[in-house]
Amino acid sequence: MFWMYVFRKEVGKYPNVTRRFLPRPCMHCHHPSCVEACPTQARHKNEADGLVLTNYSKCIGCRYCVVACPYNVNSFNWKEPKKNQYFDWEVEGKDLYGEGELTEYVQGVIPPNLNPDVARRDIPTLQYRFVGVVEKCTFCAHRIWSGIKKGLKPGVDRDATPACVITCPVRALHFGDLDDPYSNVSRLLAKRRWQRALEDLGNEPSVYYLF
Amino acid sequence: MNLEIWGVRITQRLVAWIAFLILLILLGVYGFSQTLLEGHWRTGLQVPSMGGAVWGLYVTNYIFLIGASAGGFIIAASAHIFNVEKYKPISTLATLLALIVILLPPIFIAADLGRPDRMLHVAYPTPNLRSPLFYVLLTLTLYIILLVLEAWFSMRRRLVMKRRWLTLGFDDLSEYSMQRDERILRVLSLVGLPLAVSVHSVTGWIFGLMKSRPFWLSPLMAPIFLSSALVSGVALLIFVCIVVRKFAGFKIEQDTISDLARLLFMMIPIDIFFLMIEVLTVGYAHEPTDMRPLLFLLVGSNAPLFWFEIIAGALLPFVILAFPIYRRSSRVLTLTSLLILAGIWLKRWNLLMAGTLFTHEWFGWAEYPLGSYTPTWVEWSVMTGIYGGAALLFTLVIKFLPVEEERRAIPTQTIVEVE
Repeated sequence: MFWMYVFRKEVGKYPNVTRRFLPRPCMHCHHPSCVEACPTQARHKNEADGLVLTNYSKCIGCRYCVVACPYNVNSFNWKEPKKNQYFDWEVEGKDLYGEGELTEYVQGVIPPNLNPDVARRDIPTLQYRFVGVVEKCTFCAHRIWSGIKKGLKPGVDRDATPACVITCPVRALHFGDLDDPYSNVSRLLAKRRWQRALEDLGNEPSVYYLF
Repeated sequence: MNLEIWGVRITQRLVAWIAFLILLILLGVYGFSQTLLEGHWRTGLQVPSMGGAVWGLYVTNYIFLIGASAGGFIIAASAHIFNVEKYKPISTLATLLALIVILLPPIFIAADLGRPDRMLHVAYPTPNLRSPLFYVLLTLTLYIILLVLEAWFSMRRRLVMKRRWLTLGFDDLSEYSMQRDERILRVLSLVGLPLAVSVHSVTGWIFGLMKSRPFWLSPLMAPIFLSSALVSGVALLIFVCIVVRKFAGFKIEQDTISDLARLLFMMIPIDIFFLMIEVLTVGYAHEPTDMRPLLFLLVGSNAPLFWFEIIAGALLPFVILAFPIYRRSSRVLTLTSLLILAGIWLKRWNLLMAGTLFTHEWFGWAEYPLGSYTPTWVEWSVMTGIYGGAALLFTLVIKFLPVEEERRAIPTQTIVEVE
């Protein structure tokens, strides 16, 4: 399963051959097709920040959003999601497996269902990842929200920025507030040539590809 | 063996048939339990970015069966509304057939859902009125209720005589109440016709409104679903009529079946016509995103199924049904209706595959690996089980309910007056 898929393509003719890569996170559209299609409002657009998120307790697993999304960003839990799908990681030496530490980490306000790394089946309060529901990239909503809560600025401070952006070794990804004309991403868009994917479908994605 | 239950003789053949169907159902239950316990990885489905079809065998059967229920209802409704005397003897059979067939799609959907326990979340507590699936639930529920009422009212007189407890106390057999039944049936049929049209249209709109799937996005989707629903529905009704006449001793006039066959003969070209428009529009415009699914159907890996659908499932039956002599032959009609049913089933399959496997390219080069989909034995067994359950239900209904209409002498004068 891919929350972020990376297209690969070889272009050119020998000996001038190169490889192109194109990451595909969730586009978090302004007019998301998946939200319109979802029969239970499990897929919803967050009013405050415009993130397109899934309520896993409402999702019935009909996969209509998978069909409706022109960008194919949705993934379905064909099997019981297991912790060992991801890295076994710890926070400041504390084991995330303990319920107390986890609550401390998310400060009791971040729904762990938005973080695939911390949801667990055997802890009742964290039973948010189910087999048979649809998941997708959340722009690391848990990181953004906990960062904002601490007074950090998404896109500037590492702790309030999606994990893909801060781990990218070549800094190919940028994140920030598009509504703020002075944010890092707004300045990048003003300076550089950019294009959005499948613009003519009218979904108005929030992901811009710089050229 | 001289066993009788509720006045029905239980023959050895019947017991063997029911035992066989129960075996099929158990197979289906086993298959269903596999996905319930382990998740849908036991099916052949996969998300598009991994190269696969996200809707498969279950949804194919879902749309096929919704369509197949149309025939029974349309025939029964026209018997009640237009007083078509020819169809009156089979109107109860047709209504019950429509009812049993329409009960199956929700079971297929339950098998398809990742969380079938939350199925009714579509209606409560947070329905999304912009989702086609909400209207599917709405129209389907109303349609099922209407069919139950229609079946009950058309059987009431015979229920009073044979299964009195099923009349729920309404066992008045006076002339007045009989006429009232007729009136109610007419009103139900009048309400039901637009409802049936909307059931099939909404099923089409599940697909026809998806701009993410270039092959599906077409205003023709609702009419094409309606026309194939009528074709497959009437074909199913013909098949069932012949089967119950042969195996359950129903008295159905050959003329009635021949008349249904003539109706089928007139509907097939409409269905072919709609498909031709779709193929012509996409093929003539040859937009790259639309052409890939079309070529997949016409010459790609799906071509055998597509051409079977066209040639064996539509053109050949059309030619056969053109000859009145074949319309009178039960054997030819059985074969023809089965060919048509297979053709329409494949039509649903082809449409589904051309939509789910193909999506838009980005910037001309970013595309997902071309997927393929092969159903696993889990899906086939669930499908077998559900069809087995339908056959069992139908057998029991035929055996234990007074479905067969008594012979009524039709006074010639009445017909003259109607004309």
